[in-house]
Amino acid sequence: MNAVIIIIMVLFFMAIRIPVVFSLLLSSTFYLIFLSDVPMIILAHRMVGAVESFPLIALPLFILAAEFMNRGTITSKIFQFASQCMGHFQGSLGHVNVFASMIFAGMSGSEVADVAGLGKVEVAAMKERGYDAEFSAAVTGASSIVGPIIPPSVLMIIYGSIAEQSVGRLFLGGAIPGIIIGLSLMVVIYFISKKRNYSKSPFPGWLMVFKSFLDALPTLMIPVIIMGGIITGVFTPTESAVVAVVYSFILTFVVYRDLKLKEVIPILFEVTLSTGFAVIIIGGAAVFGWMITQENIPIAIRDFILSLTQNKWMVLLILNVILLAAGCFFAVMSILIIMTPMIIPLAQSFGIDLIHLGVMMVLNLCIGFLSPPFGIGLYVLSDITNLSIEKLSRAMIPFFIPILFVLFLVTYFPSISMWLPNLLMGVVKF
Amino acid sequence: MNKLLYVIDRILYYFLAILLVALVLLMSTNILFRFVFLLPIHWTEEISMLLFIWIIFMGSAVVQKRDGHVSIEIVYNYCPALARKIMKIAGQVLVLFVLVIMTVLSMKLVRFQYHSLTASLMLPYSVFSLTMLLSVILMLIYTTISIVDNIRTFRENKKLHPEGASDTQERISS
Repeated sequence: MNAVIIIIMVLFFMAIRIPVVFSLLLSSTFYLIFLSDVPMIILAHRMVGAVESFPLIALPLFILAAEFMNRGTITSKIFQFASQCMGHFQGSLGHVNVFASMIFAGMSGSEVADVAGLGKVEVAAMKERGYDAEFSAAVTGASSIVGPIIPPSVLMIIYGSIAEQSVGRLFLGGAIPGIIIGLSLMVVIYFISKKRNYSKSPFPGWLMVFKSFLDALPTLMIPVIIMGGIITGVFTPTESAVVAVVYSFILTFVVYRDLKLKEVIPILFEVTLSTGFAVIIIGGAAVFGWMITQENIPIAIRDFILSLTQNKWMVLLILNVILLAAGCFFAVMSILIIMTPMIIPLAQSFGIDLIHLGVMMVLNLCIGFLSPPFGIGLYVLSDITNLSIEKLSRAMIPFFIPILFVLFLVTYFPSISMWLPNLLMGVVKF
Repeated sequence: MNKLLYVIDRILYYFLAILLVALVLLMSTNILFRFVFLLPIHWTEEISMLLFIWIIFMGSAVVQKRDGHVSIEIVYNYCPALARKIMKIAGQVLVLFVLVIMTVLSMKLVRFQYHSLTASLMLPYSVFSLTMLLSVILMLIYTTISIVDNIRTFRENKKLHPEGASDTQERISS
């Protein structure tokens, strides 16, 4: 009974547009006042305790590094390198777009940064070369999905801190699915371009490719440093985030001179706000999570689904449908934070590895980031391209096919996400 | 009052920037010491955590001032203007209620944790919870101001456009 009241309360608060964090705190407060005799101080205690997590410190650092990288030269160098490598395929700039997004995903952790920074360069370049606007926007949007999957990733850090999983393993778990998504998008682009007869440029020769590689080398070192440090165990993910900040600051401020000193303070300030914005929800959700555990709600959800089906594959299907549906309507980060603790007991009772679950959840929610009617990615894109949401959504349809196919693969073949972390960081036995 | 708010704004602006710079500097020095001088500094973890927690709570206070915390807008967007205004004010009053409770609880927590010390620097744990207290007090101030503003405009609109006329007008303009 209490469980029903709690759920109705929190949904009601969210529906009348009370911010998610306060909705969670409000329902917990009412619960503590009327339905429980636990001292209320637990509210404050849980809130501070939950955010006291060392892996989470990586979050402001990766956001800050992405801000520095988004200042101009770094993105254009990546774009140039990508166009030398991929320009000679049919529909050249489409492939360039995907490839550049994949490299950038290896440097920054957020999908919004990918659309807003690199996306602008990509859309402009494609327009110039006569690609139609819908196609350019759709390719840019679809390729930005790899941002949170290919490491580093802000969403993976958040998931890792809630599910108490190693962020390094989660990062590695996303690497192969991210690359497969990139490649499958290129296949779709190839067929569309063939049908519409888009141009291709001649192969510039290995020498030119090598030259642009050297030119982009300082930039390309960023993903190598981040992942190399984590894989070899030299750095923790948090330390690699610090290194990324220092390295990208030196690159933009000293080497490329894209940044003025007086621009730094506003950047720092905005990054702290994004951090507060994201992490405070984790605090609220910890209080809420404590409450639903008191009322055995996650176990009830598990038992309910167990009563429907005992089949692991069916359960995975149900989870995917729920997550995809939620992703269409709610903000990606709040779903991840609220739903992870509810799903974990279910996943564990079916022997689903939590790294596998994490990669699956993040991929699901990123699809939600792009799907109508409320995906934030669509709005950012329509902002850059001046296209309506309807037109964008229609142009995106062919790209959802490979993405959903990869989601299917990731869901039903755990080894796609588990192989690399197990290979490089050893198998963890429970 | 406005002057005071402005001063708080400026202080928070520089304070937050400094916290983040300090976090980056501290953590990079630690890495440097560990690899170059082979001397890990044991207390940096505690201080980094402290800086991080201050960033979160002070940052989210500023976000509250901008009315920028994540909220779900689906239902809200489909409601008529009058219902929206009522929802907004009712929501803010509820937020105010939870903030008052949080203020009391944070104060208790700060007092409670004053005597338990951290492992390596022997700081009282209150240095962590103090930021939550400050943050909820700031949010309390910002929310109160916003409620007063909202009620004032709500009343003025009613005087200008009686019988829900403002409702249709807003729909046309949006």
